[in-house]
Amino acid sequence: MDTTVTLPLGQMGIETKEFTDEELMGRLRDGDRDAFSTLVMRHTKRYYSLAYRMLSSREEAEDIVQEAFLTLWSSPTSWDGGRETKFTTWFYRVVWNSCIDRKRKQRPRPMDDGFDPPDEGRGTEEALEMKRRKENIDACIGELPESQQTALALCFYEGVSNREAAEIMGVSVKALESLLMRAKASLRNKLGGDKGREESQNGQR
Amino acid sequence: MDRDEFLKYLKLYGGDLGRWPSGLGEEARAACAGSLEMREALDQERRFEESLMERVYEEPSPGLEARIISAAASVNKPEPARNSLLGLLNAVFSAIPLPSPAIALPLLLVIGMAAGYLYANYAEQDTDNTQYAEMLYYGEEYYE
Repeated sequence: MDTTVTLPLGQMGIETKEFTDEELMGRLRDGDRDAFSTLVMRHTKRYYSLAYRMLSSREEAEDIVQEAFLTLWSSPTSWDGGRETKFTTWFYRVVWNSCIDRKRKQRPRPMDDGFDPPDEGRGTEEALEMKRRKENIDACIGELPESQQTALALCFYEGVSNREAAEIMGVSVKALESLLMRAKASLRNKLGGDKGREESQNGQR
Repeated sequence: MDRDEFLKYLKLYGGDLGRWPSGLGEEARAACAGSLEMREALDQERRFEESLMERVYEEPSPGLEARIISAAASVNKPEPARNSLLGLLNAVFSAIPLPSPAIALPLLLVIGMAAGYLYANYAEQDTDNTQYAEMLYYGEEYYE
């Protein structure tokens, strides 16, 4: 039984790199391993990034992305190429749904009270302050409703267009834009103190 | 673009004017050039977004891609879709170019009319056959 995998890293067929995602999916349906490898090499980072933004954990984000790709490998027909949905949009939705499932299953994690050694070259206080600020932003985003977090992760952090993000989330573009605006207004309010609160209230009027 | 419009779009599309829908970004740039208030609002939005970018982010482990590709070895290789009946049907139908809806509707109409015409002839012939059989059974005088 053949259990070895020819890692394509060194010998990735130049031809597969030239294919679009949709063409690669067509080849993947025929069990083409190079096509799978090319898709993994091409897209792992972007899907990891979304998963990380949703779960705030490297291990879990890597797990989610790995599971999603392995499911794609074992049942490539789950993507219906006949529809108008692009592969990347569809796979964002797969990863996002997995993240939502994982979030609902996981218990709230205790706050990280460990101490990371500060970066060299920075004063300890400055590094601590930066760490606190980052954690504060993370905590504020974590308090947003799931849909607002997703809209923010997709549009703001991943640079996905509003239209594509709306398609991924299965909402209208108007609804997506409303989610984005509310997310930003809440964050301004939480992060900006009184000034932000004032702006947020003006924005809601 | 007036002030209110600018502020609305600023909240919607963010401080990077390059990411605004085509046309709007240029309009916004031109509007900002003539308004201190708009420039300040833009700067404020950019500072806010920069602060959001400070959020904790960890890069994935090096070699995550290679790990996923290796892990695929332990998962059954997908059978080519044509091996199953469904796959075969799929392959057959995907090989046949199906007409687009614009062509399909008139085509259906023509097929329907042709079927109606043929059926009408067949029904007429059927009536003739029935009459002939009845004539044999009842005798010719029955129809006279």
